[in-house]
Amino acid sequence: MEHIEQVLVSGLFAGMVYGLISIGLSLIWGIMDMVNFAHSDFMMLAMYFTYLLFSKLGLDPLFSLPLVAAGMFCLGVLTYFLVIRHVIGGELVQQTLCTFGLVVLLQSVAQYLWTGNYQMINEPLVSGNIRIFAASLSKGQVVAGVASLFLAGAIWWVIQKTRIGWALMATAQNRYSAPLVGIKVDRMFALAWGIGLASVGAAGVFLANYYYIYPQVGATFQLLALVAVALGGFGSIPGAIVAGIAVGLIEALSGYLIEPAYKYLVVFSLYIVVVLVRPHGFFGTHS
Amino acid sequence: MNRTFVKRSFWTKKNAFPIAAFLTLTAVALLAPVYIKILFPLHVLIMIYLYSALGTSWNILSGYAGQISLGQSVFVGVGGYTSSVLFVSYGVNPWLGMIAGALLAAIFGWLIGKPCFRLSGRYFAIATMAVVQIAYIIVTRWEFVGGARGIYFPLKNWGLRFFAFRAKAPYYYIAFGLMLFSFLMVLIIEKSHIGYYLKTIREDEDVAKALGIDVPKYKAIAMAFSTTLAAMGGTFLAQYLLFADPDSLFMLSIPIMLLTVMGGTGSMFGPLIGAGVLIPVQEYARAYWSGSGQALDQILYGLIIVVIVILQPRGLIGIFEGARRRFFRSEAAQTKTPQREGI
Repeated sequence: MEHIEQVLVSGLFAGMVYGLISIGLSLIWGIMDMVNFAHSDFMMLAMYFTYLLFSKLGLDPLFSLPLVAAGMFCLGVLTYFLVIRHVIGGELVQQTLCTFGLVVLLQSVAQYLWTGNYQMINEPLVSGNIRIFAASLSKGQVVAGVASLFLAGAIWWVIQKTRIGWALMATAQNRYSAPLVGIKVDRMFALAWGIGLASVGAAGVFLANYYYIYPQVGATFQLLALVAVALGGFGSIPGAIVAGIAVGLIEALSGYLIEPAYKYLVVFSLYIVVVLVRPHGFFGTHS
Repeated sequence: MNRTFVKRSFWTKKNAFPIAAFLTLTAVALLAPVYIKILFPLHVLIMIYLYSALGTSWNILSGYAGQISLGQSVFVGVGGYTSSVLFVSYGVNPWLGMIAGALLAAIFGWLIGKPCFRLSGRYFAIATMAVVQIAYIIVTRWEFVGGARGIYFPLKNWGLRFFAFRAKAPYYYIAFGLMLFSFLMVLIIEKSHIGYYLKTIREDEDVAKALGIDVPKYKAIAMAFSTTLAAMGGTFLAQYLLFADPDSLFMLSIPIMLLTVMGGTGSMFGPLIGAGVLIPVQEYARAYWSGSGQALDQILYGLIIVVIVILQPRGLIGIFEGARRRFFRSEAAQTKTPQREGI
């Protein structure tokens, strides 16, 4: 019985991080009706930034968090104005091509600058293990999970309670009539990219505490995040978190009950089944 | 349903230039191996033809029917693996294996399409991405098909009968034939009601339904064309490499999609143009740079994709068509030809 607790707790905390990764994807998807296939490759970039700040300046991931998040925000806005803006009116194929082009570009730039070797942050402030119930977990994972929930709450608050958030929601509802009430749609899209990448950047910082860093690290997370967004319903922040946790739990449980090698097989198969029954996810409002 | 469309004759004055150009290019392509004695350019040309055919298979399903698939290489893998397993384990001739692979891929396509075609747009795309991952995991764990190691061919039977050659020229001709076959498929689709129906489904599924088009049936037809072609490309690739492993057969979805969209979706020569630009860039840049272990070739590849998609959203074929329009401007002004294809 001790094992199952371990499995559930680690699945839960992994799922919270998936949730944070998915939020940015979900926001961009919901607000500008676009899937960013390069989302977790931006996270890879944030992980490298964290690693560089640590190895070159000795800055612990906990302290580099605001720096990296701010940097990723700027990168998001920049990416929007340089690249995304030009394909926003295009068809699905062009948007897909564009973000997959970014995938190739980001991964190869990382490969060029930092080689394909696996990197790891040695002994960050949060290291070692902690016991939760009968389960033993690395502190990095716990911090990542808790902080993910906290950040998700903060983003949700901004969207729900501030004027900027209302403007974002209005843009999501109808980008053609939003300008009529004085919303600058272009800036809202840029903001969505900024928030999206800042949140995935934060996820990258926390992951860098306990995860290996290499140019293709985004690949696995990308599909998991897409699955979480599609399950949670695009544009829904609570949906992304709940679906992220569900994905984490399913992954951990199937790894334990069946075989670790088959855990993603179960996740993706379940995804296909669920999406066939509920094409717009559990929290999706669009029809 | 009224299926009478305006019949246009093929041998007209307007078509004379394209036909002549096509025949000349074919003649040049057929003579190429006689004069090119260096292996590498021949290899690049083989890859261009192969990827053009694979791109066409993607184009039929995603460019014409509008069902964006990010899992095309499932069918490449099914084709390549079927013929390889049949050949290595049971001694079945690879040519027969190619047909078996194509049939099996079509069945798989039907099984995947049946539920997934109900999903719209990006949900369909993500579902196909998940299907690829599922297939990849199963194949790497399945010892019967060689697991992660893959299947290596016993290198003893050579010749046309065994679809295995020591020289590159025979592969060149077969790849060229495969590409012509893919063009034939597109021609069949474009010149029949299927093409019009598929484009209608792409533009608006509800309108297609309202017009009385049997949407599931025509999506299934597009899937059947697409999977058959992808599987044949898979068999060719396995025979060319002389092995089949999960990474070389199941991980091609994204490159196939990229080069087709680069070239131009929903047009006959889009995949060839995309492959003709991207494959040489990739192969030569890799040969030139990657010895130092750097990823400059991939950076160039990614940059080209992003720049093209910004500058020419319709793909490279947009540039060609723009040039052609400028060239024939006076003629176009007289006949008032529509500037965009499609409905």
